[in-house]
Amino acid sequence: MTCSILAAIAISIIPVQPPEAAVQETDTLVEATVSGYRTRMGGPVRTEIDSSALKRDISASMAGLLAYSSSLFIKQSGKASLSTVSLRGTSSSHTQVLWNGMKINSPMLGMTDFSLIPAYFMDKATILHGSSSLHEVAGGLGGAISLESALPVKQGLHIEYVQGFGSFLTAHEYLEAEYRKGGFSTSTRLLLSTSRNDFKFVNMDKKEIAYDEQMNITDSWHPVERNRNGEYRDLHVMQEAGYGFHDGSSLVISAWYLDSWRQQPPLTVDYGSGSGSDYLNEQEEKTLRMTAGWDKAWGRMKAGLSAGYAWTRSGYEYGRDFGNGIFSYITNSLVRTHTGFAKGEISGRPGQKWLLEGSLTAYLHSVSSGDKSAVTTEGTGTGYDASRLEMSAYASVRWNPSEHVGMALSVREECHGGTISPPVPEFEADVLLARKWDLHLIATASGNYRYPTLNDLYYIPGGNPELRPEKSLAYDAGYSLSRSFLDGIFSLSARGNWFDSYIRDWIMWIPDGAKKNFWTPLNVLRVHAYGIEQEAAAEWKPGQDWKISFNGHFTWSPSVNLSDPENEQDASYGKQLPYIPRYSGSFAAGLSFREWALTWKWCWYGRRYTTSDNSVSVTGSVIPYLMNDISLRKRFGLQHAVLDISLNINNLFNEQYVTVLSRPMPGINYEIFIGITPLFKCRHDRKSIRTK
Amino acid sequence: MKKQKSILAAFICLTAISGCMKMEDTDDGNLVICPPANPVLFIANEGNFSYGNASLTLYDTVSGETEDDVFYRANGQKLGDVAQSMTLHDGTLWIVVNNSNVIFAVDPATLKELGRIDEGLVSPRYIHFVSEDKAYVTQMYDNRIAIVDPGTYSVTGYIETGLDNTDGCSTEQMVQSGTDVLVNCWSYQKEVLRIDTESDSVTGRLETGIQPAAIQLDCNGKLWVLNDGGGWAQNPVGYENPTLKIVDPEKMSVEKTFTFPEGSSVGTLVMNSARDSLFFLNNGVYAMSINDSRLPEEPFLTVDGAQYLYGLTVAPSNSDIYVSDALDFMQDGTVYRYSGKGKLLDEFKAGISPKAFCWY
Repeated sequence: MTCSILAAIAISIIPVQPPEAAVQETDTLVEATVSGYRTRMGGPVRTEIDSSALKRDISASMAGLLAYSSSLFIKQSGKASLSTVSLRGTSSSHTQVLWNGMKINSPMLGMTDFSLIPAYFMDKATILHGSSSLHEVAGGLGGAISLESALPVKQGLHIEYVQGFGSFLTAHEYLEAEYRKGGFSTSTRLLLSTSRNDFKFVNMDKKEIAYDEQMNITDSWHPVERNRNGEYRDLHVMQEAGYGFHDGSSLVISAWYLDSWRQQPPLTVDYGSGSGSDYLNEQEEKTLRMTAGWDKAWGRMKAGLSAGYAWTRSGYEYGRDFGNGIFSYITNSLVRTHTGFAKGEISGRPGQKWLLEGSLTAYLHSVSSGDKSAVTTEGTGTGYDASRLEMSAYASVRWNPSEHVGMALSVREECHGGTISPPVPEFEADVLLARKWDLHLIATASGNYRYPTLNDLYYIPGGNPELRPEKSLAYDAGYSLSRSFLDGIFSLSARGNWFDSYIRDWIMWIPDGAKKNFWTPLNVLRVHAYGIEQEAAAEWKPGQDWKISFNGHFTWSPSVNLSDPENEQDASYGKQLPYIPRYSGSFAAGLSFREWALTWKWCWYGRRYTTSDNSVSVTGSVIPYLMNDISLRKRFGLQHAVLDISLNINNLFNEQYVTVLSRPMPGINYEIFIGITPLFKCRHDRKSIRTK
Repeated sequence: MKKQKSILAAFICLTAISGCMKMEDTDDGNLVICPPANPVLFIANEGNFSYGNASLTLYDTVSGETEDDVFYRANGQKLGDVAQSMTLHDGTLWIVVNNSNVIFAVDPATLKELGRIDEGLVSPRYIHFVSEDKAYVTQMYDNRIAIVDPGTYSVTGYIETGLDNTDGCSTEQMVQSGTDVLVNCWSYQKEVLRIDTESDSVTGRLETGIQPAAIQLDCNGKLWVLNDGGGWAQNPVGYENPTLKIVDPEKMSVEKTFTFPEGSSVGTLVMNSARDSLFFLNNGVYAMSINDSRLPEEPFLTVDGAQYLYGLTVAPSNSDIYVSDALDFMQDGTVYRYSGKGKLLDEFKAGISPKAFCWY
């Protein structure tokens, strides 16, 4: 009995390497050898995003998906605009984001724009809450989000084409071609999204006025405006290939290219024209990311090597033509970044009760940032060139003294640009309380560091090379359970956590002393972020063709400024940090009957203050909102293809809302998607796909 | 009932005598304000760039009462993004909202909007009235100074300044000198311009230093120019010690230069009503006579614990000094009121980044 339990634990924390016999028997286990080189994903404080949600519609970005599939706060500066994630009361740069194991946060800004990550391109998304992120990466004071794309499981050729149309002249095209034969597999995905994005909204921040002949105001009203200058075009191409060798090792290569062009709508309080040929406000980004991973297992050992490269060229132009054909630029910036990545990892089990893990990771960032909006007669603008080598070593030992108890001690050591931080420890303990309910209790304690970004250090003007890393001390305790009833007719799972973290040397950009004409980053804040996360899911199959599912998330996360007040007038002490909601939640309900599926998604954010003193003024906070999206889907099994049609209604109750001051969001809008999957294989396979 | 009426009448009388502000927010969110009997200070709170959270605060100098967000409460619309400056002219308060590309005309007694200039402006900074039917508006990112007709709230033309339009051009503050208007060019600039208000053209220009940030005209007709020196070493336009210069506007020549120590964070130059004393910010409030031969070594006022002194004004009626602290720029700032002799008289909250003041 003990052996079987330990074996189960071993399977759950060591990447699965199937024996040869198993490889011959099933395709599924072969797939594990290709994509399963990753070591364990931390303790149980993680949220696996439902894979079906990732594939629900091709228009969804990870920003939109996370809003409805978690209780993270997604700060959206408008539709198809910068969208960042806040985890456990921290800022966007405190959430580390990984794609196939490589960190993709901007080395300049520290954050990730989730509006530029299409959910449909990802096959797995995991939220690593708080300390759990340390198993993968340092610097995630709030946590990390791990995204993975994967190669096909089934043998043969699989093609899927989806076309979508939506309100505001929005169109999406998605093509996916996958092929697998023996150990070789390849996948190609292409997504093109375009939109005029000129939704209407009632501008409650402005009033239009009418004059009489004597120029007296005779009438005023809140105008119905269009989201001007909001057009966008996003192109994503992803190519992956892999091979599973006979010795059990595997090699996977992935490349993801992004070409995005987006106009930037004016603020709701902008009375300028904001459109037309004399106005320019747009950003363009081209990004190429590539990863390669190899892994091999033998006996009780497993090793993996991975490498990657990321290149970004990002331009932002904001200017006006005053009639002479020459634009006067407010901003005319161009940024180029290069990132090299390498990682080696190894794990082994010297005995039944022990698991050892270790990894060494290196990133080399090179940034060239320039702005030519202000140039001298010699033609020089502002900007900087900088590079930084970041290295991280990780070691972990896990011990399971009995079948019900496990504990782990991990240490991560960081070195950024020659600065070595003290070791970051993490201790984790878990107890299996009730096997029938799979009820676990877990507690963790850890430290963490986040190093300043390259902009923090070198931006001109204002960069501060003297900045110290932000430091955190975090505690966490919680439970997880899952159980099936009535032979799987009804299933239930839940997870809850209390978390408590203290962050010091939090970096803020403020004017400082002699540097009064610009802002500079300083280590100024001490923050206490704490709260409760709760999520639960249930599924009920009342009949052979029926399925009802529920999935809910809720977070209460006070994130309080504990910095000493500068004087008695400083009212920020003890107040919630700006743009971090105390309360947030999401809920999704699904009903499916045979080929029909109905999904209702609900997302709610409490009040978010925009000021550090939590002022009650009209602009001092962003009001709470409740968003409802609904979708209906029908699948048709044809003789040579599967046809998939779905209709989405977003913002069902046409709520007027913003997540960021002065950045409008669209009201009720509609999308329709038509997907076709040709059936190339034998009749047996066609049937299995049609009834999937 | 009779007793109640008596009490009410007494209350009204007392209120009238004391001259306190009377305000009431109506059910539809619109503020009703009775014309104040006491001198009133309007405070334009810049807000944060791109937040759209600028606001207007009203301070009764006798009762010490303040009312926040009065523009929104009186008009049911937001003031906009970055409230840059205010000018009171002929009974109308003009509020320049920089990143909203608009100038609001407001009745200072009721705070109701009278009209707006919302076409033909790019990042407006200041408005200066040349006559009853003509005003100039300086702009950032546009090398032209707009000519507006305040009667029709429209731009009627532009003054070409000759500044290079590709290098972050900006014109800033304006003062009247006879029939001329003197303008400092701040962002990435070095010059002061002289404009003939009859021909609406530039008739003189003078390099006074790197980034002339503020100007004042003294009682002798001399122009005082505060150059911030560029602020940062890699500034494309250059970097030098901040300076205060006296300029003869007729000859367009520098008569005297006062040089600040390197790294000084000087800004916000104002004068008293007699225009014979200067006040400026440099991590404290400094004061000097126009006849002084050197810069003051010690601040006239040190605001204990202030985080970031941001705005400054001197009351024309009694020379009280008002200085604002923007704190961390993310919360409501504080305004400190001192007597002309430097005694703290009052302190009160305004909005985010209180910067511009206007007396009524």
